[in-house]
Amino acid sequence: MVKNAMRIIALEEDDRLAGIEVEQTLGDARAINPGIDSVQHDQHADMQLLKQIARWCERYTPLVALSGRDGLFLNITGCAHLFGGEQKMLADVSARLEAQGFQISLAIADTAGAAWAVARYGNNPIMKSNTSAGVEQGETAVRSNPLREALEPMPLNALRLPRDQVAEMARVGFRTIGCIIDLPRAPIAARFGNRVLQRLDQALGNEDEALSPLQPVAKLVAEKRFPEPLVYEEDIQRTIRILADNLALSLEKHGTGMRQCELVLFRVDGEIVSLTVEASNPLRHAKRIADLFDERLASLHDDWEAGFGFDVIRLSVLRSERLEAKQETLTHDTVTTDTIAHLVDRLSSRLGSRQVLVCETADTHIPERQFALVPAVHHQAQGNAALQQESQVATRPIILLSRPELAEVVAEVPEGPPIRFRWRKAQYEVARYEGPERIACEWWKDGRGTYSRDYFRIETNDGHRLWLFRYGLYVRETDIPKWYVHGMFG
Amino acid sequence: MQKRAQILTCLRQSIARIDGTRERLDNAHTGECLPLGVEEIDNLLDGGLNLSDLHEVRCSNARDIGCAKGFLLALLGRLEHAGQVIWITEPAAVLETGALFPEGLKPFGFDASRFIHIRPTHLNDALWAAGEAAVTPGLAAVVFHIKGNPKAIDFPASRKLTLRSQTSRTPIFVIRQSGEEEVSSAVTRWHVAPAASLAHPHFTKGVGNMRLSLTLERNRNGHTGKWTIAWNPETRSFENAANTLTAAHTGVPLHASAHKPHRPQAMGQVLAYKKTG
Repeated sequence: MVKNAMRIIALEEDDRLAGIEVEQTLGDARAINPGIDSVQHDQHADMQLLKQIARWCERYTPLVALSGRDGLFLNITGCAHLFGGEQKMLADVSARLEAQGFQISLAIADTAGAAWAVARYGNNPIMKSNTSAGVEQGETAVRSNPLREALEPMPLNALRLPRDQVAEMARVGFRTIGCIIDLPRAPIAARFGNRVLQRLDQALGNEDEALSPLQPVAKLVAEKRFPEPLVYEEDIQRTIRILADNLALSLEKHGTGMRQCELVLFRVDGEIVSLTVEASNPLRHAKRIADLFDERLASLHDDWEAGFGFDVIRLSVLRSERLEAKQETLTHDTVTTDTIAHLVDRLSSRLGSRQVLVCETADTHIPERQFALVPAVHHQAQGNAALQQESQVATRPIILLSRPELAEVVAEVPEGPPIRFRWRKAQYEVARYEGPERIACEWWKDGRGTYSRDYFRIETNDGHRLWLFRYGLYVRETDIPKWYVHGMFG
Repeated sequence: MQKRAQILTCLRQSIARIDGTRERLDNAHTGECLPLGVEEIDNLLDGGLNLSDLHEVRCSNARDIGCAKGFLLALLGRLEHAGQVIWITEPAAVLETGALFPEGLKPFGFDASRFIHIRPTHLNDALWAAGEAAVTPGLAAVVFHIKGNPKAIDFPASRKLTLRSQTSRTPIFVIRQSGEEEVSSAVTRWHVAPAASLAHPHFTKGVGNMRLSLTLERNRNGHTGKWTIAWNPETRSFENAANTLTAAHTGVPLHASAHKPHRPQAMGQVLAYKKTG
């Protein structure tokens, strides 16, 4: 619904010929052609599709940015020669996207703004001021700018301006870019706002325009293209090994090691499989990097399909850290720490990083907040020596339950120790106890309003040693305090 | 009698040759074993637990898991190798048993950062992870916590783990929570049940040191037995604690609130004021 009516957002070629236009209400369109078939616009799905195409376009350049809801910018600076020049690259993009069933219009220009304009309103898809012919003449700089010539006859819509602003300018007679290109700037800015001039400058290349690429730009990239798509997993693994070798060389040159690495497989029909692996320590051992991807591929089981095969395989380093070259020692120590780190990385790649955990401790006295299990690949070794003091008294359980479990407790006096209790469907009699040990809430943080806990260390008749607590002080905090089992001793 | 012993040794050696366990028998004499500290048990084990093999610790009920883990942690704490321990928990066992509590590991001489916890979402992944960890040299131990008697972990699977452990010389401990006895290639299998602790000499009402009823259900050389042992955190060793009060006290003062409920002290001090006027 736009302005209280269902409006046409996109239409097919036949309907356009019949006189239906974008922005028309659905009622008007039905009046022109009663048999019209309409589908509710799904903005979200469209965006998803556009993003998917954007990812696919990364086969041409890593810098792909969205342009509004219906376009993409590809910054192909320094990439065109890989595809045999701009003309061939354009033909390649167009052929592949059309084969996927998209209607597209493409343009290559010096600036993002000009490319946008030419793609929508131009005739010649390649609009470059410094084409090779121009350079040979040696006079290009003095001659009038071909970009400008191309833009002049275009309507003001080509400047990526809001619709109402274009309408406002049309009222005073400005219809094409040529109308305003030579006018004094100050009155235009005063009357129509700075935006008009900014867009004009961006299109002409007088002002820089930053494109924000969808994906973070990789630090290092190695890729391989195949004229005949790969289908078999062994071939893909072999390719990964070759790419990892290349990456390892570059990593060594930079003196870094990879922490996070991404493998992107471009399927011929436009699907993309992207796999990420992480390393707990900076890594630049080609075989180990490839091993991590082998595990990652193995963990996918049947969740991926080669289909018609992959024609581009790219391995990129997303996150790297400094890794100094080390003198190999003859002692055993470095070898074992290395193998353990590699084991952790491999387990994380295969099982997922949230399944391989290490313990991180915190300085608090609330038991469940004293530690957290964090992914080993993200863990930074910490040295909080203050917390590592030795202790010989078992005042804390060896197992802390994932959450305190409710127990039905009979206590002699409301504030006294438990006598018997029921927990996990079994009845226990308390033989010995120690306590209470009061652990109050952290009122200086977020604990205000929560209850204190009185912890008891108890032993049952049959020898189970458990950690119980009463939640809430009797009368002062609550009238019927509940009891919970929180841990088990050895 | 002498002759009989000779024959026995001879036979054992030939079995060992067939079994491929000769190397392991030799290890027992080169000291690569872990004594429990109770002479009686260590003698049965030819000096202690063999450190390049698979051992199983079993408890009958989920509520006994504290004891099983306590027994295992005590054993691991006695290892000379202070390297990292890979602790794999099978998905079915994660929910009920929670996590190892760093504070609670200190009496066993452990720093929580020595553990790498692996919690796969599928049993087969857990088995795979155990196999991978078993071939990695340089680990102090691999612990594999399973619940019940899953079909995937059968005799061939345990045999594979044993062989891997023998080559990498990393001990593997299987904790079987609430499971039945089962044929496996574990060189020893222990059944652990809780036992009421002996009173602390200085604090008779309190809870004493960890005390277990320990059964050696399976032993490669055939000797089995049942004991009641207690853990002494001060010497970090087990001691036979059938009925005697031998548990040494730790010498560390207990909490002020250990014997009575804590009551807030009255604020300030009451003084005798001079009468005015």
